[in-house]
Amino acid sequence: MATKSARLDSIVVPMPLLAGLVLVGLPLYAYLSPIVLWYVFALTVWSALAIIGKVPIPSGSIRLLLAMVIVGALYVSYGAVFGLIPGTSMVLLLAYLKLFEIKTRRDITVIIFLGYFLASSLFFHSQSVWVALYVIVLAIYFTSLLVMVADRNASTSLLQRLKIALRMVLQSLPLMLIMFVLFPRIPGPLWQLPKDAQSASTGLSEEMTPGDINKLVASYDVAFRVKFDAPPPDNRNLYWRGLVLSDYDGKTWRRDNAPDWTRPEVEIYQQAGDDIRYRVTLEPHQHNWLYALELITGFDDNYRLTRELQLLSNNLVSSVISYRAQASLQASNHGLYPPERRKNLELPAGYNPKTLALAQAMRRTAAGNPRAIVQAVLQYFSNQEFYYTLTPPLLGNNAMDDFLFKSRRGFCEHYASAFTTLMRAAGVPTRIVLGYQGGEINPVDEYMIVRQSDAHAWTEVWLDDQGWMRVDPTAAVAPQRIERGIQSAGLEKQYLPGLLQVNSDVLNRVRFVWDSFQNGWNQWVVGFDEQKQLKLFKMLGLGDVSKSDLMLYLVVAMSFVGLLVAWWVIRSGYYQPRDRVRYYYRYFLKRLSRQGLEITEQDTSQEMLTRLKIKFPDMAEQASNIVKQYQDLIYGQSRNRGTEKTFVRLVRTFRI
Amino acid sequence: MARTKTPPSLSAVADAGRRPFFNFIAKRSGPFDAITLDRRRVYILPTKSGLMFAVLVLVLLVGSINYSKSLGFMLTFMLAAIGNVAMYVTWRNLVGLHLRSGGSKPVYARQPARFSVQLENTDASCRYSIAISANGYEYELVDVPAKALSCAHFEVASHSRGVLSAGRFRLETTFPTGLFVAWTSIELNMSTLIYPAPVDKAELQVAGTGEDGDTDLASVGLEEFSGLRKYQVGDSWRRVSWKRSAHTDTIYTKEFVGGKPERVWIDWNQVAVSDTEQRLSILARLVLNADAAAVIYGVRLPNQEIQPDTGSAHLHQCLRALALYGH
Repeated sequence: MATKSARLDSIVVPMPLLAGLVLVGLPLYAYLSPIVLWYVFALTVWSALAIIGKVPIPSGSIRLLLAMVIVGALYVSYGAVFGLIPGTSMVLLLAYLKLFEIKTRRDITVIIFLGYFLASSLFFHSQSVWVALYVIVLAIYFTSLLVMVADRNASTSLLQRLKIALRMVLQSLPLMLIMFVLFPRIPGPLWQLPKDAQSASTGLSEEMTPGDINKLVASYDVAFRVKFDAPPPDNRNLYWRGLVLSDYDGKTWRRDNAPDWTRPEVEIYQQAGDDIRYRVTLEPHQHNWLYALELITGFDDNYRLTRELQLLSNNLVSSVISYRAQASLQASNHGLYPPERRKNLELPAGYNPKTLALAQAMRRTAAGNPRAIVQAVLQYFSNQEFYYTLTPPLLGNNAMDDFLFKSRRGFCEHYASAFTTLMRAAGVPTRIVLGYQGGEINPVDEYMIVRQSDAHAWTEVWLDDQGWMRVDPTAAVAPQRIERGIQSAGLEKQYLPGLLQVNSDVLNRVRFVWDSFQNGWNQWVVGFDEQKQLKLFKMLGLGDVSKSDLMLYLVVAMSFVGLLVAWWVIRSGYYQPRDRVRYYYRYFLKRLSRQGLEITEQDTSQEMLTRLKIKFPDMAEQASNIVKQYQDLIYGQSRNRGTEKTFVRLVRTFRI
Repeated sequence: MARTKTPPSLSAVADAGRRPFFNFIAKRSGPFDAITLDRRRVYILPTKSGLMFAVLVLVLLVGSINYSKSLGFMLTFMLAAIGNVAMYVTWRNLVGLHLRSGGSKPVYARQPARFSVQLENTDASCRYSIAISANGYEYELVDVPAKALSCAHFEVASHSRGVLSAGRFRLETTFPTGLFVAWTSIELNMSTLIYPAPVDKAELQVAGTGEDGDTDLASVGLEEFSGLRKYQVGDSWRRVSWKRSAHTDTIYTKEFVGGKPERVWIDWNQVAVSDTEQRLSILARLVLNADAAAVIYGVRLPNQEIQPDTGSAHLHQCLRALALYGH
């Protein structure tokens, strides 16, 4: 029964620990470099073999060597041992090494704490519902390991430990919630974040090569969600501007932004009811640009707008952010300096001779009128045999020639690219805009969902009298794409995301509910910041609160809820209510003693009854009945709910 | 084991809350015959692991602020709240436990005296890993299953013969997380007899016992076997030859040569040592020798005479007399 030392008797313990490290490591594997990954695998196998006794536990000097190899491997893989990924890898690997030198219970505790730490690092990569659930499971598991360490007689089973841990996690939820809601949020980093604090994700990239976007179309992921203040505009006006590409090398389009000190020149026509106000909740995409409806006329102060009307943030968007913006369908952009004009006319020399020739011909026909040239090109797209497809053939060196005269199959970026090339060749400044087009209203929460599959590329043409004018060449080929969205564009269904292919009301309903849940998660959990805190207090009718108010509320609520939790923990949960048979028997004895009957714990019930008979002769029979029933219940086999009830009633009706 | 005060009646236990305040301290100090660990009697503090855990929570908090990870805050606060719950649960692992003195066995002086305590758990769930110890001696760990009794033991150093009361002992637990330690220090009405430590055989010779008597007590039990005779009433059962008796209808007793009488007196005056404690230690050795030799022996002390007899009860009666001599 007794274990007399804090030292461990056997190495049985580390197996559940190793399982914990594997569990917490699994989601991290995707981010580890191959060398580190192999090292993790090797250590996993080695420690598993050591634990079951197939290989000896490595000695101190070997462990030191292994630790040095870890540092070396990290340095080779990442060029550093600090930063997010190297740091997490280091903690993971050191936790593995620690498995080899468990001597006391405290060593195990250290590994468990490293496990909690690693679990929290998962949130750097994703803050989705799934990751949150996984981390809760990990928290329960590691807490059950703490129980294992504290259970020094080793008398609990794995299931019992998990139950105890689960109960503790459940009991921790109220206080966690209070702290989460009321703890004052200090914005911004306390120190410079490591460069790799973000990791790759889906979405538009900084450049565009025809063939890029149609890969995105297969993704059902949410790019961002929008809440309009008023009913949303028509689908054909939903152009979500991201970034502007001006530089073309014959293959790839890139950004060529005007200098930072330049200002946008937006002209707003004052017409009533034209403003579209909305709030965007953007999923992290690891870039610094934001998406805003064309034509942007207002935005949050902490962002800036470039001359090309790209809305930029100062930091990379690495977690869900939310911003307000304003758009007007009537506004126009008049920014064009001579260098911009030059830039937007440039084409790589010596490429696409046929395209250039076509452009010259069109320019002549249109007599140099830019509007007429635009019409001519669009008509060319719609009259000739062009197809809108997700599976365009590969293009050669003269990509535009190949597309315009040979394949004639393409996706939005092909049309935007070809259109821009033709316009520039015809002498009209033109550039490409990348973003999303369309969006779907979720009837459950009225949020508009814009998915990766809505990614789109269109163009802007400079007209001297009007400024930049949006032209979407895809609309000439597949007008339904712009009118009704990607799923109605007549594209090959098998390449669209699975959920966009089906047309089931039930399924639609389910995915809308699910999406509104995810949206709520983003809005209220992942995106819970200072503003949300204030908003919540307004919603609760508490008005404006300051940070010190918040602290006060926190302290008050924590004391109050803390007491409730304490009551909960102490009263129920671990310890079920006391035995009512014993309780009522004590109550019975207490009442007798209040009447002056001397009762001590050492008395047998016979002695007590004898004394009772002398003092209260008329009660003796009833009392002895109670004593007899009590003994039957405690020592006999007859105990059940019914007999318990009879006993309780008997005690209650006992009158002296 | 004399009771020093009347045990508290059940009603007194139940009415403890109505006692005047100045009874509070007296009530806390004990010793008690039985006690239920109430909430005021159980203390709690974080362990080293608990402090490390607090540091971990702080690190996670700073990390969450720095990287503005909302879910990081969530996990941080969850761990903090788990720590809070762990405090109550650890404390609850002791609170409500009923303790009763569980008796003890006499030991010889300078041997650790071992006391047992009955732990009763009236709750519907098990109380795990409760450590009991006194005065820095090694602890023993017990689990007290739901609605059950467990016996736990602790040891106390005994220095001299006489009555040793158990004194304070400590119950502590870190279950279920090891982040907190809950403990109580309590004294139960428990005492045990400490017999005089018997001297070594060699010392017995040096002491020169038996010089004037007709019995060389030092060599009692060192005789040689000489034969068998029929069992007579009063013969020690230890001297019965069971092997032989099994083959026949009669019971045989083994006889030994040496001419020593079967009935001896272990006499205070026989021992020519002036120091009382040394004398008692020698007497204790003689008593043990006599018991081992299964002779019929009695003990004569200046204030007391124990008639010759044999058996375990007799042995303990004699040792008890030695232990309590002069007290």
